[in-house]
Amino acid sequence: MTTPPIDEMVDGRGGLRPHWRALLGVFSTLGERGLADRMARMDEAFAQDGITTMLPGTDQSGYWRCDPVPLPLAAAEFADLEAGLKQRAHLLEAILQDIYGPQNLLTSGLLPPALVFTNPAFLRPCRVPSAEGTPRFPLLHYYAADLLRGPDGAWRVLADRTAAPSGIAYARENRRVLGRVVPEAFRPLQLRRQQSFFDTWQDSLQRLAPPGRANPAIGLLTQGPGHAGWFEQLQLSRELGCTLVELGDLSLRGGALYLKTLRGLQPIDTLLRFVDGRLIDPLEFEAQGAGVAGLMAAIRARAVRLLNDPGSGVAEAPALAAFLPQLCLHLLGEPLALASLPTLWLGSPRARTLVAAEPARWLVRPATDGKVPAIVPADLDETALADLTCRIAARGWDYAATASMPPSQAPSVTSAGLAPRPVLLRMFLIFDGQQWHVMPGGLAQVVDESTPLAGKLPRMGIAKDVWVMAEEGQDIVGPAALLVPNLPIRRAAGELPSRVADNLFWFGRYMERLEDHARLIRAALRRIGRGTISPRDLTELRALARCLQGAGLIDPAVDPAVGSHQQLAFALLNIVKEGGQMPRLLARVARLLETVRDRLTDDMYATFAHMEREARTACLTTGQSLDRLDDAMHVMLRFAAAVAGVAAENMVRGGGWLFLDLGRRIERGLEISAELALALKQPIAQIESGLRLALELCDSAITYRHRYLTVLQPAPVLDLVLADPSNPRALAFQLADIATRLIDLTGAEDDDLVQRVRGLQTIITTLVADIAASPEPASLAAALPGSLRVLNGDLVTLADQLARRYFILLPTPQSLGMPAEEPASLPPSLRGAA
Amino acid sequence: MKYALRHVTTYAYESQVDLASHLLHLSPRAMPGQTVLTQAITTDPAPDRIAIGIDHFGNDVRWLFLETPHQRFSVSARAVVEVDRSPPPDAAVTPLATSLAALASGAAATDVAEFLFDSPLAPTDSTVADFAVRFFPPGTTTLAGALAMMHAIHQEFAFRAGVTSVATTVAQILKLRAGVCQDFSHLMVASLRVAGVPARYVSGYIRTRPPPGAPRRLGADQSHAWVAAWLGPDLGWVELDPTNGLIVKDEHVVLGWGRDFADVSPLRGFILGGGRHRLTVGVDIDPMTDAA
Repeated sequence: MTTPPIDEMVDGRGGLRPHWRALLGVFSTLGERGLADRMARMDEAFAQDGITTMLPGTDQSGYWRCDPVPLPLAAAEFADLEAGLKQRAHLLEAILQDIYGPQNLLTSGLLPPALVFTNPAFLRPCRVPSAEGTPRFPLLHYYAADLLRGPDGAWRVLADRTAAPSGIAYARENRRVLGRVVPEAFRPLQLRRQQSFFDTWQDSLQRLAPPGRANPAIGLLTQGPGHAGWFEQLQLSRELGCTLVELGDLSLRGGALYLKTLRGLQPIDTLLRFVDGRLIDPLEFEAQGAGVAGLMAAIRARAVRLLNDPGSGVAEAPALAAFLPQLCLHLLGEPLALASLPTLWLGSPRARTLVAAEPARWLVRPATDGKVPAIVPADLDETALADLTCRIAARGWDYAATASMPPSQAPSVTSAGLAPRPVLLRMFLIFDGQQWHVMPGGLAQVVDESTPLAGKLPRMGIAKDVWVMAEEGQDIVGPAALLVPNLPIRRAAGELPSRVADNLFWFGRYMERLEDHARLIRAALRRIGRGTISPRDLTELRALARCLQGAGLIDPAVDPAVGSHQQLAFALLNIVKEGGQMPRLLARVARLLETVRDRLTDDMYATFAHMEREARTACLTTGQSLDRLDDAMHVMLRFAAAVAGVAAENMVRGGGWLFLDLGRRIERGLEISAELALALKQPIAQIESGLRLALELCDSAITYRHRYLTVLQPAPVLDLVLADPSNPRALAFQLADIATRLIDLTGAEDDDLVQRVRGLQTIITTLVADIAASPEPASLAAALPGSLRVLNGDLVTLADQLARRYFILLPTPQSLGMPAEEPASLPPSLRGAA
Repeated sequence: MKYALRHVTTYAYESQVDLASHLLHLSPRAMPGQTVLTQAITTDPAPDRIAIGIDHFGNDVRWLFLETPHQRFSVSARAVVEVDRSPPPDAAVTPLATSLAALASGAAATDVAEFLFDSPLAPTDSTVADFAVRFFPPGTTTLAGALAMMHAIHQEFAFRAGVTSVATTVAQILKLRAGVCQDFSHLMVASLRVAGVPARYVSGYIRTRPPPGAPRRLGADQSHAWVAAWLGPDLGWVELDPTNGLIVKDEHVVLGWGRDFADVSPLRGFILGGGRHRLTVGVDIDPMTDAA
């Protein structure tokens, strides 16, 4: 490299640029220790809020990192970038209009056909042939550009992101956390506000809805948790006030698009698209998936609008940059204001000669895929270089070459204090139907000097917040206004997508199951820990072992009497080992927690996620110690109690909470009936052991003692654990609660499921009343297990009917007459079910 | 030659289908050498909604949406089509194969250049290139090479149903030396493209009963496929049927064309429910006497 990179901090004459001077003042007073401390606090803040990177190619468990030192842009510098980016956005829209319309750019020779036709992001079903009218407008609504500042001081575009650009929510988080961790840095500077950009975005989504919609429903189309961008899409849906929807939540009827909710199908008019265009409609695209058959037809009929249009990614082709200057003159009648890095399309023989002459000057990239990292010819050995040259000679149209240029460097926190590091800048724009708006800020990335530049954000980079300086009279903001409180989401029950209700239901069930397992294990541990075992203890241990077996936690062959209960102890320790029942259950809880994240506040999510990790660690560090196993179960119970408490205190009593609670109550009802059936399975002479255990398993021993002191009799015990409607651990309580929730959901007292629950309540009342009235209560109690097993079966049926009514909406989709004649998506099994 | 065409497709489902969407490429395409006199598509049950349009390749497309539960779905396409292609030029006067890529510009940049490149169901690799090079030694004109290739496929490959599926790759067909019209067409478009000749996959039908004295044609009684090769801006496209070793003249009816089968599959659908299904297809193409 002949020219050294430019330093962001200094002007051309070696002096400090004014907006840097104030910033540096702040950071230099912090000192090396202070800087490291702020960096650590930034890391902590992102980890606490559960802000994961999940960028393609990054470790999914990694947390987002942001440098406390921002990248400031002077007002005039931003104004230039703003003007250039707006022009570029207009140009890209015009190019897309042509590619998806008359294709005059191809016939006039301004754009090589190869760039369009070999581009996998050119989606033929999106084209509107001239005979059919003109393409939809706009095709591009949300656009981002990656920029770098070269040694000559000019910003250049490294990549255009026109499909579904990521990063904007991270930029938002950077600003928020920075305001919290380094408030003093905001004081000497006047920054441009970003809120109005998001307000404009929200308005423009309304404005761009299909014609004739007075109050359009907007959704943000996400691929869901587990996919790159999930966190970002979650945040953005909140910021923009739109419902987070997955393809599986959507259904077409009568040519219009609907969201499947608990209250049936609710119309949806506009989707902000964060899913690959090829996945949206299995009828028209090759990709098989959970798309919506006929969605393209609905888009064509202008019944629904996707922003960006499904085919917008075609303009991301790196080779397109080679043609932008001419295309700008031709389409907009003006020169391109914001240049790309010098780029060549290697389909042209002249371009191939240029690259062959000076391979060190260039980075080679696929012509149409901007997400693949560049190849650095200068780094290749002779064979590899010859191979590349050969491939380029055979299929030159598949390649583009971008001039290698060192990005400018900005002061960044490193292990050795502040040091200049190369930075890339991503800026974001939205179109409101008339004009483009640039977010005053952006996402900068500190890049590893060895990272070949590509369109993708560098792997594992550290981000920087981008500060745009305000001019006199512009809206400014101080740190205090940055601290936006976390708002809980409010939604009425009916708008809840069935998928979310399903996930919350299972979240509730698994949390309850977790608590139950922990309780069973602790009860067993308590008896093992007593050293010599009395016959009474052994009776109870045997019953407990049956419960543990019934719950699938230990092998049926485990006998508590064998080897002074060594066998049982070993089996209990196995439950929490890696791959054991408990860590697996926790993993399911964690997965469901992620899927219901948009229904929780940030604080709730952060609390739950933290406790789940803690619980998993406690399991995995138990080793061979029964004491530590007991501690781990304590952590588990605390986790369950926290979720129950936080949900009870913080969740709006809408659809989401209703299903969480229903899940919990159903599960608890199932456990009580199953475990009491096993505990009471005793000879009449030993029924007292069964009763004592029943109280313990239902966490009702203390209540019993308060009421009846130490006298253990069947009727009072069974009344307390089965029929007492005021005992939250009694079966009757669960049933009463389920009935109430069902009435909340349906608004109907005479709902058939409610009737069914009422029937079960009557059965329990009668069972307990019979025992109380009997002269031989012990023998009746010993006969209870049969009745309890029937009740358990009824509850299983009830859970199944609930699922059928609320969650399973559609049968398996399948394709006909196409390459892959197989079910295109998973069978409609219960999500989250074991 | 004037043909009466009837194509009936029936899906019998094991259980009820709640929602169905179908995308049809079933209307014969009007083009030089083919006049569509009448055409109609009817279905049973009738769809709740129909959309019609033209796709990227200029083919007629029809979308049918059924929102009423049904256990059987039948599509019947009828048409009367007159076909009479002009005879192909003398192979010797067609351009050199190596010159075509450069000629696919100007007006040809949109509707020809696209067919120079690989497509998803007809990808090329070195085995395809080795196969293609046989027919295009230096100095070969486009039509001479394409005809040689067509005859080679006709002679060296066995027509055998059931040995391939839509997922079978061109390289696998080369190894198998057998397949059906779809496979031979994919092999031939891929090989022509490797040789620099723009090539389309053509979907349509061949007449059910051969002309008197001619052998029974392969690929009758069902959807048929063949290829079109580009001979430069002046001579345009010539259609070649590798399955039968025929230059298309007046025995074929074109539905539409694309890069490969996936672009023009006659009938594709997506249903919710239905369980297993049984598919029956009947195609009849018979010449009409003038009196009819």
